[in-house]
Amino acid sequence: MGARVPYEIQLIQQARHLAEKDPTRPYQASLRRAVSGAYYALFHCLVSEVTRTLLGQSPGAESRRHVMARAFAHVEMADASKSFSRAASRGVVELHDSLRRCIPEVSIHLGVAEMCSAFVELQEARHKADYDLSQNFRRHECLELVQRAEDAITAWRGAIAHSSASAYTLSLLLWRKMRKD
Amino acid sequence: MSNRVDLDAALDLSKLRSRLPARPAILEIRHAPYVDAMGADELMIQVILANDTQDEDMTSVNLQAIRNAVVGAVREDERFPYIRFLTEAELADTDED
Repeated sequence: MGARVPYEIQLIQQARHLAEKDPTRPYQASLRRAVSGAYYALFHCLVSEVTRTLLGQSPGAESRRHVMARAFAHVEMADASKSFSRAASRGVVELHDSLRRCIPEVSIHLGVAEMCSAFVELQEARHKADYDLSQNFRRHECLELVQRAEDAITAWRGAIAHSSASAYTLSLLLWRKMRKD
Repeated sequence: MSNRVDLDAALDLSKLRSRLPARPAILEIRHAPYVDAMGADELMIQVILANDTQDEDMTSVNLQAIRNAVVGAVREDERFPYIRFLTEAELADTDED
């Protein structure tokens, strides 16, 4: 039996399937679910990374990881992602002091930067896909978003060992609390 | 937000050309203020592509190179740049909506 396909990759595969089906005239429902699925691939990829980092990867920690996973807030994650994206182009001086101290390399890894900007863009697209029926989605637009999500996951995996990735994952859970300091 | 830049100058295609891939062919880069789903004041940047753009032009590498060039050009602006790619024909459709 082969290795289990990670959940975020299952979501990417499902999203691509939905975006490519109905070859002549795609259902808006299919395209919108594809966009939503692509966003959730990023969401679950990041949540899984944080919970495994903080609580460990042992099977015994699984139930605790599931509890922690419920603590993530989409808006908070997007706020943190915007700040890290800004820090990638303008310098880590943009970040809270405590986070800056977690990044001795004094730079944001390109893979982290790609994940941050993709997360914000996909969350915005997902909001339109799920709630705004005033404009139709085009197939190629959806496929680009699915590809963007897949590329971000690949880039992120290459960046996980970098200190900016650790700082980013911490901020996804603690952003609001840090902002109050 | 106080730190905003001259985006017409920053996104001047003639200055960005050297950092852009040959394909897809970019006709224009538009920008406008944008309030996102979170209610934040951000930036919408539309990259207008030629109508003869092919699927094989829209590779991850090409699109990421364009995004990098655009993000680099507006880096002094505090707003988050949402970047959309659409052809001239799609833009006309959107404008009619």
